[in-house]
Amino acid sequence: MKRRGYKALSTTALIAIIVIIAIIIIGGVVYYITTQQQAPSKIKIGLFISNLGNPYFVALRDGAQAAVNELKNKGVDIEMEDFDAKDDPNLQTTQIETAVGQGFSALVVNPVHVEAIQPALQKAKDAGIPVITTDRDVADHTLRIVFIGTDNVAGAEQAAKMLIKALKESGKPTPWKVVILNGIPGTTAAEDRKKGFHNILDQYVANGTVTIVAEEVANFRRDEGLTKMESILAAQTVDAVIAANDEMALGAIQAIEGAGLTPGKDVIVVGYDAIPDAVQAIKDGKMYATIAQSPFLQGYWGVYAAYYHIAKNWSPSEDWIPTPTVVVTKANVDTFEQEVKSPKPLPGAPSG
Amino acid sequence: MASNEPLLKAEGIVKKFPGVVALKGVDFDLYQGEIHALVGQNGAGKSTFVKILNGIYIADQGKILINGKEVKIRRPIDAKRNGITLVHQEVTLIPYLSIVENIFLAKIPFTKGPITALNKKEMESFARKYLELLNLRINPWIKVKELSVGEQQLVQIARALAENANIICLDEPTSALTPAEVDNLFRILRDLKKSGKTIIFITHHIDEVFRIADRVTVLRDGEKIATLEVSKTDPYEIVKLMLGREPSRFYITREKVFREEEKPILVVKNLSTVPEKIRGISLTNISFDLYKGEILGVIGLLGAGKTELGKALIGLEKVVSGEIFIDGKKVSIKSPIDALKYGLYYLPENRRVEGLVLTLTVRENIILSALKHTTKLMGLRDINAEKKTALEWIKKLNIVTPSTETKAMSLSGGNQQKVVIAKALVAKPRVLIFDEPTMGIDVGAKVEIRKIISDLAKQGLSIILMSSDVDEVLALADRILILYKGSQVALMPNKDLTRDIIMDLMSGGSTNEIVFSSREGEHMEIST
Amino acid sequence: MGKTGGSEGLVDTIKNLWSKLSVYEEVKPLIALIGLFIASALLSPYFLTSYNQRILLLQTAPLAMLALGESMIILMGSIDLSPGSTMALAGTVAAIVHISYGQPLSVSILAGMATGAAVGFINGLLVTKAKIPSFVATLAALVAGRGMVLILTGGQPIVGLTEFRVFTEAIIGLPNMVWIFIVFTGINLLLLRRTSLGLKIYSIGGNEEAARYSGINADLVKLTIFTLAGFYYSIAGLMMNARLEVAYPWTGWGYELDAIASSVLGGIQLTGGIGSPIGPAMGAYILTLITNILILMGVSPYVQWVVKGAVLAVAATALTRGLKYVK
Repeated sequence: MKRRGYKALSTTALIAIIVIIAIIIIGGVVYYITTQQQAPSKIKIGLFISNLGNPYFVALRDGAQAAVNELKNKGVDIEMEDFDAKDDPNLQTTQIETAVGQGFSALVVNPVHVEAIQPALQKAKDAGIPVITTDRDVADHTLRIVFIGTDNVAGAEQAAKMLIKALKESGKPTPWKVVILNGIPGTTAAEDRKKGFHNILDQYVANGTVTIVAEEVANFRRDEGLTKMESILAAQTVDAVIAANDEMALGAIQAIEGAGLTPGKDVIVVGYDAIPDAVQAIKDGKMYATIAQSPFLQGYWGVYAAYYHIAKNWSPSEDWIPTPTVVVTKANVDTFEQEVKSPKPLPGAPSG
Repeated sequence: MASNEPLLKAEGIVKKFPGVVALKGVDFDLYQGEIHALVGQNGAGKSTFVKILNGIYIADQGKILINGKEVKIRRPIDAKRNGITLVHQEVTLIPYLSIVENIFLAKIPFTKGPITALNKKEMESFARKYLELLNLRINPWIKVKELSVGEQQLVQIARALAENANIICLDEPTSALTPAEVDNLFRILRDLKKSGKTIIFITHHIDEVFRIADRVTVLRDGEKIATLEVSKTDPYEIVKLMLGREPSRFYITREKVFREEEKPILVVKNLSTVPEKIRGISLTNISFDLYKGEILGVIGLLGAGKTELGKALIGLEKVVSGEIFIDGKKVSIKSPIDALKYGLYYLPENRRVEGLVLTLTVRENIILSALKHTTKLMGLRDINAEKKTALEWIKKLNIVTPSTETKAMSLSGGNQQKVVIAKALVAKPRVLIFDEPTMGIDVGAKVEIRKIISDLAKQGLSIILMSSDVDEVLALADRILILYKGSQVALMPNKDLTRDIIMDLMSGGSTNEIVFSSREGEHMEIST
Repeated sequence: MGKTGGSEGLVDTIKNLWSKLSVYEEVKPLIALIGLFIASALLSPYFLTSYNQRILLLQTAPLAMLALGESMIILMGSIDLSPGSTMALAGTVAAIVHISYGQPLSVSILAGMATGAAVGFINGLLVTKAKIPSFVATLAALVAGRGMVLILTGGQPIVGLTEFRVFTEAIIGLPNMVWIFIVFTGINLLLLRRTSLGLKIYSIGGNEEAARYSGINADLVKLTIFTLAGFYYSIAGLMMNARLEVAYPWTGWGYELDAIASSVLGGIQLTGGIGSPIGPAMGAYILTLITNILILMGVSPYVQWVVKGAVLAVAATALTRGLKYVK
């Protein structure tokens, strides 16, 4: 029994020694590396994007990168790292939490969800890291310096006006049968666009020139736009479709074609976002109009706002810096991109 | 021998497993056309040796020569290409395939190309050829899982034949067979020998060596002790070589008791069951009683319903009619848990499949049935109490194990069986139901297990001993219940009974039918 | 000469030590964990910061709860595909009780736990009474559970769960949910190694037939453990509510596979009966650590999947070495 006890002790002791040695080695190495890599003056910006699978957000990232490059050329010591949350709020929280411990000077965040992002941004706030939200805001405005994003209500109003214009041009008999496809309920973009659509269309509903035959949620998705529109077309004829984004509008176009109708002629389609497929559809005459936002400017301004805040202690006077929207139709389909992709100075920016 | 040059020669085979040296430089030779028996206690290295010949294990040292040329056997397919095949002790058929498909699988490693079109008719005629050789007359499209163990064993042999092997190794082929099936097998082996095949035959039964083998090699503790001409030796010498000492008797004798004045512990009246599986066995009108300290032998061929009776008593067969009384009170037993409540404990036939949890330690297996005794409040386990219990039983039953913490899978068959017995006894049962307790374990362990059973009865436990070993039952039982195809053929005191009488009754009493028998009538009435 | 003798002596000592250590099922996952930990520390200077280590544990907590529950089921030789859906359903019910019905936090937490346990109980009934293989029964729960979440939420996140912060608030330097998972790891160790129920779980996984013959009520054990596992998942669901302060309907999507992977990384054999009780918590930590270091290094999430898969394959290979073959 005594020998067994001794043996067990020696094994335990050996494990303990190994663990201690391991800890000492790790500690030493890490201390060395961390002391080597201290570079305090550098500005490091984290860009957190909801989904880089979407070209819209790729443009946002490009804009941010353009701003970083511009600043670098001006001799500013700045770098940026981007993170893709694949539309998973939990992953985005994990990414932001991890980044907070990583010495970022500022975070430019495009939240997956307005509320779900809050605990993560609270951590950034606690750590004293400034946050700028782009495209989608956070519910608690105290968690960020400023929001940079589209005035979606105004954009949607423009879209709805284009729809009415097209219907008038078509000479279709009134009341015009209109379908509205809405985005993910609860998201600011979806709610604002819905509001903008109704701001215009409700006047025409009131005077009897428009009937809204269906208002469906297609969650900003092309496949849902397709299936929802197919079901609608199975039940009735439709004169026009207005969708809260191009993906749903393109889905609707597929459904219209599937029903043997001609989009643009039998059914007028208006989208939102001006993604490349939609631009092509406008060229082909299948889509009447779409609204181009300025994701490029959102990213571009986001980085500048972060830079001014850190380097020049700038705070914007506004809570929200709206980015411009542009109506895209066959008339300007070849030129609008330059318009939205050209850098413009950040409104209210400090001089120099 | 047929020729002077051995067909197969093994030189200095060494095989080490973690912690043990299974073979310590074994030399072996095999001549064309002989039946060569390989005997030895469990752990002697018999199975390891044939597994090396068949490429299942790879020898650490030594070489194998076939017709004088050295061959490398590193995988089973290497062995098959050299004309060697193995019929495993455990069933290695695929249960959800038919007999035909299982036999046809033997041919597949020898077909060219990755995919071959299968023709049902061809497959069947291919399989039938070998089934007929074995006198196996059953529908060849039946799934193997529906067959009895004995039939499965024969199908395995058919598959080996289908491989067209020259050297057929049989690892304890008779351990699960009925006497008639053994006779049939031996007839087949003799035929095979006549057709020029060479056979290595592992067995525990010394009498079988003398019935079938030309030569016999004795292994002990991984060493070859001797190779003898069967005609120039006798069973006594072989057993002595196997054990390395003077053999004690195989069957212990026991004073038979016949107590009538007492009340029986267990009474079974007109018990009938229906099987859960297709082709299972149903019991019809089984009636018997069991007294304190009594051993009731239940005997029958494979498929007589012994296992079914054991399972019916612990609620695992579907009972359609009949009653069970314990201490005169009618009880309803629906599960092993109920059975344990009434003190009934069943020790299954197949230790590895049903008896033990091989991944657990010896200690944990021993206490498994009596967790209540070794746990404190809230089911918290008392490891010291467990160890104490385990050590106590290891000592009482003479279980050979390095420690209480050894995994059950690393014990020998006999010791595993003792762990199963210990597990049962820890639960403090009143009636122990043993199902083939000595099947497939070595001679030394058999004697020990029989001794344990006898001692348990002496201590007042009632025992139902189900066995297909007639001599075992004759030596141990006070009364004998004979089953045939699920029916009760006889229930009689073990008095003036002989092997022949029992064998006759077991086989359905081809000439005589026992119409009545019980312990009250101390005689048997036989009508023709 | 003396020198070579010395190095041989060292090799022997290491071999000897290894043979002693490898008896413990925890050793292999622990070595993997230490190895990855050291590698991560070398790869990123931010890895070893106390902040990063804190959030690493924080992120591990929900997955560890799933893995602890899942591993008990795998140890019985069954499998549970429902952890992801169960956690989402439990979180959703808790959120609805709290927000829509205005109940206090304690009531909503109890409701969530009861929901998880109920899903587990139904799984257990399907397996033991309806005799549906656990893979199929829990696949049904995976699909139906998610469907119920989507019905209850209408596909929309339930917002305003700020009171769930009790889980993320810290005591003694670590968030409460980290303490919860540490405590449950301890509970699992105690339950599986030191109680009769634990031995029953191992014996059912090792040989269910033998366990039944030994008088163990295997059905009751299964029912208990499926229910207990459901309860564990519900805690993970509550933790997720606290993490986002939102009950997100797609919470736990695909987490059943992470839970199984954590168990495997922790040395639990999928055939049942073998594995350390605390291994799954280590496995969950390893999986989270991989995500963490890849984020620190700025690797795309799509690449992260590939890396996770590769680590799993390598780990599983190391753990199953010495087996003749597996299914």
